[in-house]
Amino acid sequence: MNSITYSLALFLLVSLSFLPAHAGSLSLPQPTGNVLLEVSGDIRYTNAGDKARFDRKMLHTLPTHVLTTHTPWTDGKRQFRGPLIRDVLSRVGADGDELRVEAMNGYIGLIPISDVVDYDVILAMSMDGKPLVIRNFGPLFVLYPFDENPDLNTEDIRYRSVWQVAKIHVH
Amino acid sequence: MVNYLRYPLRLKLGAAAVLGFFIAALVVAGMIVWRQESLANSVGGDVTWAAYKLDREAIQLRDKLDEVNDLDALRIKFELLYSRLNILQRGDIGELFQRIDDQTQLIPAIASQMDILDLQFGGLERLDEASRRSLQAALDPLIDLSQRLVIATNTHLGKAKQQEREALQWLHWMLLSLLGLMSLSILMVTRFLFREARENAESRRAQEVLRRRLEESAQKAQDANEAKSEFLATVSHEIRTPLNGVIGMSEMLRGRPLDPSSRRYAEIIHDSADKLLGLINDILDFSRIESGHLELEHVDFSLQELIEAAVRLFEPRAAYKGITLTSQLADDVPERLQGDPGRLRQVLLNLLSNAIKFTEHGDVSVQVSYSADERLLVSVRDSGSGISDEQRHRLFEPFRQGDASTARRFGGSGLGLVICRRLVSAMGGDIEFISRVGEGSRFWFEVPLRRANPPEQTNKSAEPHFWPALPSGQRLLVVEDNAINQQVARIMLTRLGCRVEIASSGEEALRITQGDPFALIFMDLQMPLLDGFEVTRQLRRRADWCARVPIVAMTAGTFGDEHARCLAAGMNDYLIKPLSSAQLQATLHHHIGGMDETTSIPSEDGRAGEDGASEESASEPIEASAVDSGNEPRLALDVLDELHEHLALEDVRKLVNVYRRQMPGRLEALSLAINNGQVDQVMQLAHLVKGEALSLGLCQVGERARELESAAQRAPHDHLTMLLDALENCLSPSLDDLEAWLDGTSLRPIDMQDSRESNAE
Repeated sequence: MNSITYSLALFLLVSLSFLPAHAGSLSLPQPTGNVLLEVSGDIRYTNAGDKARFDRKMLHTLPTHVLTTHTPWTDGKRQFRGPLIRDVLSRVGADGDELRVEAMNGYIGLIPISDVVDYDVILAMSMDGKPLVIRNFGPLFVLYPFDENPDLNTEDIRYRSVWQVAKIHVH
Repeated sequence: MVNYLRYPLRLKLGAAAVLGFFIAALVVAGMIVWRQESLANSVGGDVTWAAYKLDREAIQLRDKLDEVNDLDALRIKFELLYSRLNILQRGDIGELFQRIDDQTQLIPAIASQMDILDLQFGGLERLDEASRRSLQAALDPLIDLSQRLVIATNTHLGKAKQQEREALQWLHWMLLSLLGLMSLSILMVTRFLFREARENAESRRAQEVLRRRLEESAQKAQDANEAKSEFLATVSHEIRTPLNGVIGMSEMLRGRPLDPSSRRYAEIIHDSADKLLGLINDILDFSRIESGHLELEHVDFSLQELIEAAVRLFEPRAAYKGITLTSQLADDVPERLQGDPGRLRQVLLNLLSNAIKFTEHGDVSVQVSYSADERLLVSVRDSGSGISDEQRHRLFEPFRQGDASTARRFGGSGLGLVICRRLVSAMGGDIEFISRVGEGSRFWFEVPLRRANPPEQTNKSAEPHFWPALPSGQRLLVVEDNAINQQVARIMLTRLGCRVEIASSGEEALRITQGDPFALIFMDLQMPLLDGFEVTRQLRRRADWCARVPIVAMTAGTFGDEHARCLAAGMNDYLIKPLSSAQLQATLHHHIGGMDETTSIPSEDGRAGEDGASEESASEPIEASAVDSGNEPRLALDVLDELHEHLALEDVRKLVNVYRRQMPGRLEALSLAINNGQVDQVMQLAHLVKGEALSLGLCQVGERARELESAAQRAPHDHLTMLLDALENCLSPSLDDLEAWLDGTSLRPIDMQDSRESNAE
């Protein structure tokens, strides 16, 4: 599938979830706690200028996905929890081909939208029930389902697996 | 399995080598692939990155110490730095670092330094100069350690990469050489296969050559056998001619008044010659069968008559030896059957002859039955001496008899049973026997013979021919080198009313034919210098009458492709010696016969034969019944006149008396020969009778004898008997007429001179 098809599919998803009648109730509230994530770029719903900011509580309102897998950076099989990235993007009405994910230390990973549509890629918030802290890839960690898809164990995907995520730019 | 075993060792070894090298190459290739998936390769880059980031984060934190006032921001920076340590210690990266850090123990040092920093950050209330100093003091060793880690990592990875490269290189070389070896082995195997194929082709070629040689030698053997048969036939044939002279002369001798011992000698000569003739006839028969010249008839005949005649023939001999001879036909044997009665009779007579020959007392019986599947079973049982087991297998072999003593005691050619077996198998049947020494034997044969169709009585082909008279006075040329044959031909042809000239050689023939044209040329094939073929070819090349004149070959040979060669040389016909006047007559009629074929009155037109129409004329002879002798003249007066011209009347009378005494013997012999189915014998005797009759002017008797002679070859037994009866019937009236002529001639003066001249014109 090419990028246009992905955009179209995403757009359809977004328009279905955010019908005008519900626009008010579904519009993005203001974060009350520490801001964990800031989404910018081609998004429709915002709460701080042209950006959408999320605190931990807001992220928890999104459906939590459980991903149990090995990773190249942890020992043994671990259980991660967090929203699917495509759910996050739906929440902000994102419309683009690529995500530019920026970490707290300035590292930047580029993720094609197709990755988050094809795979259940999550924004992990906890490991084995404990919230992720900065020392342990926290607070947010882009995590691919490595065990489900062994072919994801490549350099490319490892560079896309950004930890200590702070910002996502959709374009 | 047999095929597999036939492959040579080198081929098997070659194939095994190819397989071995192929498997080795596969293993090496597998190793290369597996190598590329090793840890250093997969996370090598990550490790460098992680070490570098640790170092960089540490330096950044130290740089921030002086600039930043916000303690929280600094804490986050520290947290980020700490997370780097965690990454170094966990997962695949952690594993690789343990290997890199094996000796230097940098990571534990970094971890403890990090813990010191952690404690310092934990206890920090606010950021002042003193705390900045202490933090810096703790950070500096960390940076130092992290720098060393970066260097160690790079060194390790570099070394690992080099090792890896060398190993891979080695594997690649290995793979290449294995591939090379494999190609070499394949090349060898291919070469072996080629050589194998070449050797196979060579051996096939050798086999082919061998096969051709075998075929050639088989052909040669076959040719030699045929040549032998031909030789036998020729020799037998050649012997028979003088033998006939011996028989005839001894017969003449017996007819003269002789003293007792001379008479005994004459009898012995006669008997010996007769036996010899029998043997020769056997051999001739055998060689004819051997060379595939046996032809079977398919005519209707009465089996009962055949059996009875055969038994009757042997009755006197059996009675002489005191043996009872009986025959018994089963009720279901059909009255008439279809087949070759002559050959059947020959077999039966042979078996009967043997049975009587070897039986001293007791009985001989013939039993005949007919099975539902149309097979005739004839068995001949005797109470004779029997045949021992040792003799058994030799019995049906040519020229072999039971044992040597048999040959001495009983004589015979040893061909009788062989001929029987060949004849029976030619008829599609079998001949067998059982025997016990001292008790007797039983020979039987079984042949498939169909029931005859209801008789229609149209035996056209067997009817004798009546030729229309020839245009008399034809000029004929006989090319023949043998003086006797010259005379025979001259006499016979003159008898047929022709004028004959003789050429004694091919050269002479070519010379004579320069002159006036001949109506027909008889050409002997075997002549010295110029043979008949060559003379014919030369004649045919000429522009004059010689190109068209009928040329008839005369030859003693009866085998091979002579006939075809004659036609190819340009001859029109082909006669086999000895010449018979019937043959000659038929030939003359065929080639220069009279124009009017319905008349039997002698034509006066001597030039008819020179017309172009001679080819088709007289080719269809008139057929008439053998016994219908209506107003045929009994005497040939011109012959008698001629005879009278050369002999005194008294001598003629003597001759006639000798003839009168001889004839019963001749007729008896003829009857015997007919019953025996000895075609050649019949022909010989009939020919003899004919010759004698014609020379005495008994033209009706001669004609009957001629009919018998010419019919002997083809006609069934019944018909020959009928012809013989006709011959016998006309004999005494003819002799009476002859007596009358003799009486009459002795009273009147001779004036045949005039009549002869009037005939010749």
